[in-house]
This record gives sequence, C-alpha cells and structure tokens, in this order.
Amino acid sequence: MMKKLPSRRDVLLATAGLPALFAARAAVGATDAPAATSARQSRTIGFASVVAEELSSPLETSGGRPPAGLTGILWRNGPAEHDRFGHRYGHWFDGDGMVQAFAFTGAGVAHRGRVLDTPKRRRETRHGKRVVPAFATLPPGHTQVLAPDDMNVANTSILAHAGRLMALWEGGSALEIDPETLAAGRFVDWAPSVAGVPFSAHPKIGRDGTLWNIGCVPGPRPVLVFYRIDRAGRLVKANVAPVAPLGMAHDFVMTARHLVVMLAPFVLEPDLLASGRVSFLDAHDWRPALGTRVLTIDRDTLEVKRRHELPPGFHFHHGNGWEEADGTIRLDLCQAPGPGFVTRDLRAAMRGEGRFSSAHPSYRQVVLEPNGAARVGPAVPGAAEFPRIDSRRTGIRHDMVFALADGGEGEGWPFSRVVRLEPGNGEVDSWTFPGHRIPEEHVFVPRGEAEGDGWLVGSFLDVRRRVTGLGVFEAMRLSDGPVWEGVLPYPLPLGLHGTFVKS
Amino acid sequence: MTRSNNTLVGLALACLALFAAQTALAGDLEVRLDGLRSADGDARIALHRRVDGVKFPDGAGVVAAISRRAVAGSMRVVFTDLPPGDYAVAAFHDADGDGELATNLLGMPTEGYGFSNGARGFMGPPRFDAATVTVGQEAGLLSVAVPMGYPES
Repeated sequence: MMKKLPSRRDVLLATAGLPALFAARAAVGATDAPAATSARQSRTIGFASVVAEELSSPLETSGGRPPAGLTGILWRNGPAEHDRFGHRYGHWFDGDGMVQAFAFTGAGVAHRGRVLDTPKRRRETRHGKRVVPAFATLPPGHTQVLAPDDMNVANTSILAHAGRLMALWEGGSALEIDPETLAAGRFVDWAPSVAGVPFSAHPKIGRDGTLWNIGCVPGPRPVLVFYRIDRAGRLVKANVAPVAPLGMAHDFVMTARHLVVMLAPFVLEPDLLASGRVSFLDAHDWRPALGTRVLTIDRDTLEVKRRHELPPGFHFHHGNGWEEADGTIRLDLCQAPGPGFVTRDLRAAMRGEGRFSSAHPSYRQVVLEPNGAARVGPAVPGAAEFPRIDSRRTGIRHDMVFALADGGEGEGWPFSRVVRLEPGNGEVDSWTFPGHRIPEEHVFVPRGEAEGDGWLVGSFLDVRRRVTGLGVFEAMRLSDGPVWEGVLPYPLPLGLHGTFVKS
Repeated sequence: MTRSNNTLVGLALACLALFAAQTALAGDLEVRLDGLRSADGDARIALHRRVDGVKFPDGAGVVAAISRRAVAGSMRVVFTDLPPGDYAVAAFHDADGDGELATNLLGMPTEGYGFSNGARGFMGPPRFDAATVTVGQEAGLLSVAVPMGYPES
C-alpha cells in the first residue's frame, strides 16, 4: 500500500507553524498568560524576522487569474531581519532590508524574496554578531561609523531606472540589485563626486526619464544634496546646500520647475550623535519653535530659490506637487502633530505592544505662493500614510491620491483600509480589510490614458493564517473589493515601499 | 647689538639646538600600514607635528612624508632621526595615483585612509591627541600601526 503523501494543506499548515516560533521570539520579555500571548503574537507577527533569507513560492488563489494586461513585477522592500545573532533591534526601521518580487505572469503570481547582504550585514557576519549602529538601536559594543554606507541596510524602497534595479535607504548610497538572482550588488556610483553621498529613498522621475533626488546629510556640517540624473542613469548635476539645523528629510516633491523639500522641526544634534551614547534617532530633538521650513529649489540649477515657513508638524511622505501658471505650488503630504509615532509607537510595535498612542499622520494640502506666503490646509480626519499617485502625474496636477487609512479604532496598527483621496474633497472611495488582515502600501498600475485608469496592487499580512497575500483592485472602484487575490504559504515582515515595473 | 642681530643669534642657537637634538637624541618611528586592499597606486604616509590653531591633519603640520608603491595587505615604512616629541601619522591609499586623497562633494574620502593608533573621527578626521605617538629622549625604534579604512563599496 502506498504511503499517504502529505497533502498541500498539510504542507501549508506545517509551514505556517514556523512563523509562530518567530513571533514568539519577537515578543521579547513576554510573561503573559497563553491567551494574552496569542493575542500579542497576532500583532507582533508583522514585526517578526523573516522566516528565511531566501523565499520562493507561487501565490495560491481561490480562483481566477489576475486581470488581463496586468503583467510585470511588483518590487517591494522593507526591514526583514529584525533579529540576528540573538540580538533584536528596537525599531521597525532598523532591520536589514529584503527585496520582494511578485511576478505577474498573466497566468498567476509568483513570489521570490531575498535578504540584502549589504557590506554592513557582511561585516556583522564576519563578527558573528550585530556590531553596527542602526537607525534607532545601538548594539552592545558597537563599532564606530566612519561613513554613512557603513550602516546602510538598504531597507526602504526600490528604484527601477535606466535598466538598473536599486534598493534605497535614506542615509546612504543606492544599492544595485541583480533582478535575476535578487542578490545585492555594489553601491551605485553615479559619479566619483557623489560616491558614498546619501541618496534618499523617494526619487522622482519625470516624463522624459530624468530623475531627481535629494540626499540628507544632517552631520556636523549639515547639508542637503540635490541630484539630477538623465534617462541613461548618468549624473548631470549635483549641488549642495547648507541647511542648519537639519534632521530627516525623507521625501520631497517635484513640480514642472522646482523641487520642494519640507523640513520638519525634528533636528539632529550632531554632538550628541558623536558622543556615541545614543542612536541616530535618539540624537534628534523636537523643536516646534523652528516651524516647518520649506525650501524651493530650481530643478535645473539645483539652487535654493525660495524659503517658506509653515507651522510645526512631522511627516515622511508626499503624494505629489504641481505648479500653477503664476508660480503657486500646491502639494500634499501625510503629516502628524509630532514625531511620536516614530520615536515611541514603532518601538512599541517591536516590543509586541502594538498600541499606537501618538497622533497619526493625516492627509493635508499645502499652498506655497511666490510672494512667500504659505498655508497648510485642514487634515482629512483619520490616519493616512503611504500616499501614492498615478506616477504619470508626477510633477503635474493630480486629482487623486491612493493611501492606507485607519478604521477609526485608534488602537493597534493604525491602517486597516485602502482609500482614494481627492485633494480638496478628501476621501471618496475605500475598502476595509477584514480585521485579521493588515494592508501594506498599495501602488497604482496604469492601464488606459486617464488618471486613475488602472489597478491598485498591494500586499497584506493575514495574522490569522500567518501568511502574506496580495490583492488587486480596480483603482476607481476600491469599494468593490479586490478583483483578484492570492496568498503565500509564509508571512513576510511588514515592509515599506515598492514599485511596479510593467512588462 | 641691534634687535635684528639678536633675532639672528636666537635663530642660530635654535638651529644648533635642533641639530644637537637630531644627532644626539634622534629616534626612528616605524609605521605599519595594515589592511591595504590592493597594490594599486601608492601608499602616502605623512608625519605630523602639532600646530596650534591648525586642525589636524593639515599640510602646515607635516614634518616628513613618504610615498611608496602600495602593497596589498601590510607594509612598513620608517621615519628616521626624529627629535623627541609628539607626532601623529596620517596615511592614505592613493589607488588612482593622482597624488591626492579622492573625496566626494561632501569632502568624504573615497579612497582608503588611516591614522596612527587606529584613531578615528566622527564625520571627519580624529583629533591630534587621539593619534599621538611620542618619540622619547632615548634612541631606538618605535613602532605604530595605521589600520587602513575604506569607504564601503
């Protein structure tokens, strides 16, 4: 008699058991009764380390194929190794990055993922322990950082440009990735003059393929760096502007003629960082009296042309920016009253507390007038983050933004919905995920010419089944729910940003 | 004697003293560069003295310099006949052979470099004190290590 082969369900269940171990390990110091631990695990699974350095599997779907015409790869990036050598990082943004590729073949979707073996990670492999300071965590007996790329974990976003695929971080160089093997390559050397100079995680690409980016260097001589790179991937121009004091400048907007950088009053104290006593994040100080400084940079000369000031607030991301004929610039962003969600909540999440007590970022619009006047509009009620637009509108007027939003409960991971916002009208369409599913960033993939004619594609973490899945929405009919979805046999840690490269 | 002559005499005495120090009390300093990544170009090693009001390392403080073809791994050079006092070594691996430490537009080195005692600064060079090696009154060979650091690539 033939021995009974394990069914696919058995295999799935066995695999699904693995992450529970990691989730349990993630709940550092947990002393709760079993029931409480279980609840905690369901929240911390998104902040557990990835189950393997390399992963590969087709997505299982309950039926149907992804929409015809939706072919290509959704590339994603995010911190994935929160634990290594028995050391657990204290903040979501610390972990070594992992590139995820979800390939839409027409017939289905297949996933591959690989941890990015950066020079920082290789150094720790040689030492057999964590030795490099991270964004918000100093490992015991850590080494000194000589240059930004010493601590580059390449964990924030993915850039596809001029035939190259790159993993981006905020504080260092772009890291080239082999699109076939997903292996980490060398740091991108746009030109000798900018070798090792920070290259931020949200570059903007114009319709002719020209790429603009900023680099943020909040050291003892703080500067912002501006880059213009042509469609062939060659550096055309770079410029440096002293900006003191300076903290994190994570994102910016590009209009037809300008770049706009908004600087939250959360600034680095270089002497405190140099003391080696605190992490990069903890060397920042919230100084609301500074207000939010706004720099407008000529996108051709890369010189700072105008400065505006707005009330204090803390933000990471913009949707888009555009310019009217008279030079008035309109942009949007997701802004919180202060940085507490970064300094406190994302640490609490790593401890398995899963309680977000700080005010969340909300969607707002900003108007910058050429005469120096500036105003920020009222917040659309509720939390909103990970704003994305139809990228063909980058730098020109956009009439919609896609984002993650909260479900109004105010506790736990704040995002439970995917929404479409209209500047001026607020939320106009949305889909609420079931309570056991945590949505990650969703990106727009165009189909027709009109803005919004296309799909919204994104991943989610199913904490009940302990798996990561992927959904496809008709971008203009989110409330219909996903038109296709599939799930992996394993979970991925909650990630950050991605990009869809159509084939 | 005029004031000018006084100065000349003073200078002559100082030179004599320096000469005496060099002949009677000179020391040798062996510098060992470790961790050179390749044999490309040259290793350039400069011996500095402290100069008040000038931030180390600066050309104003250089009292001797040696340039040699680079050797992958480790290499040794010796500065000879040094008067007693405090010194510091700054070295870089001039892999492209252009005679200068290559830097990016922020002034961050893009070639390998190092300082005596393995001294390191924060977003800049170390202080002279951290890299100090003292040549004493007694003749003999002192040795100091300069571990070379390279920007990640």
